[in-house]
Amino acid sequence: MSTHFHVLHGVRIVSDLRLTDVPASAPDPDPQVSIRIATVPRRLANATCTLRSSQTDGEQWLFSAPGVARYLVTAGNEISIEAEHDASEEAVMAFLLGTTWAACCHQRGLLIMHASVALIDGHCVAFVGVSGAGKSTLAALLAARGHRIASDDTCVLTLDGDGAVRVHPSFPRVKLWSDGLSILPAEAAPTPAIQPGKFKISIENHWLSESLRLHHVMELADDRNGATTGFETLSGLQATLAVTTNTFRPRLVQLLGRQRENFAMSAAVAKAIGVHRWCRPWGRDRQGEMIDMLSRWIQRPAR
Amino acid sequence: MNTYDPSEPVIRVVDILSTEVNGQTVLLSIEQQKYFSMRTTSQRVWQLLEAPCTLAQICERLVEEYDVEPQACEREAETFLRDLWEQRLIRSSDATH
Repeated sequence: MSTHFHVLHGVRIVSDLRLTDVPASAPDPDPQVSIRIATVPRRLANATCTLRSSQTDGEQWLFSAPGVARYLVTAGNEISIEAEHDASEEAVMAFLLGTTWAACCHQRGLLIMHASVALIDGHCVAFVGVSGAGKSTLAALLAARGHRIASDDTCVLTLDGDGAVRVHPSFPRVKLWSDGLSILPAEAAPTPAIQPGKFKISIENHWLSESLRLHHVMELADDRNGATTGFETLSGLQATLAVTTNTFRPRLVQLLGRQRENFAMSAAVAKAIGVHRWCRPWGRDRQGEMIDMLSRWIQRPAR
Repeated sequence: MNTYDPSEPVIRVVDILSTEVNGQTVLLSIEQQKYFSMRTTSQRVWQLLEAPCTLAQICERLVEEYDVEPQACEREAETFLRDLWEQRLIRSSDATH
């Protein structure tokens, strides 16, 4: 079996499986997480909490994706995978890099966010919002305008000693609802969909792979309900909630008993950087207007 | 659940995470999965509730620290404590859990 090295969300990984889409990195003598093909139990003997497809005993988290694989994550540094014999590699990878990786991050005490991240005129912005709010479409639109992208779906935020927030990027692809396709730059060709309706599109030319200092968290809203477009700066609880409720796989935070840490980190992020709500003009014919509005806000004179 | 008794000392329940963001106190009740926020004087009361205290003790401090009439203070503080009690954010400090 071959050995693969990767860095994902700032975490150094050694893996039996090549992580599709995650760039390979140089051999690492001291990886933080190892991913192994191994035998995985069907249940945990001392499970303290059980959901339909996952359970935990405090130290370990077991996840079962029927027809695909079972995944066991231990102490935030080991992931074991037992795939079903007829499972496609793509499906095994999708559950590994989605839910399983989220559990590993939560066990490590990392703040993993459901956010797209772009560097716009030197300002690094994490866009959050409910699924369907347009995070990926916005990332693709910004890439098409020549801005660099560090995440289309998930990222990890860490707090530096000096009070700065750093964002650790995921891997280069943008998952888009199919009606988002028409706005992509010409060179981006769609590859086959994993889930119906979602397309995997490489935006490698616009990808940022290093960690960056984050300046703003921007919660996405829109004017479909007649709201006035504009930017509003959030504070206190509203700002904290914009971070904590956009944690990736929030039910896992609960299951793994990490709410206290998650809330404390979210509050610390809200305290350290600007958290805003952007009510955007909605509609495909207004995408240009939307990006212009964001550019003007980014370039606004400092207050 | 018992009703709030102003003569009994009360204290924050254990499963609350409380931190300050932009001058607001923000709270997470882990047990209830609910978020709360407090500003100004209520923040001060919440701070005092880190240790057991009665309504009278809280009012004594508030009257010292703020420009407020004792009677008005007691009325408002009692309403606030009752609210905290009903939201299950404080408990009797005599109780075992």
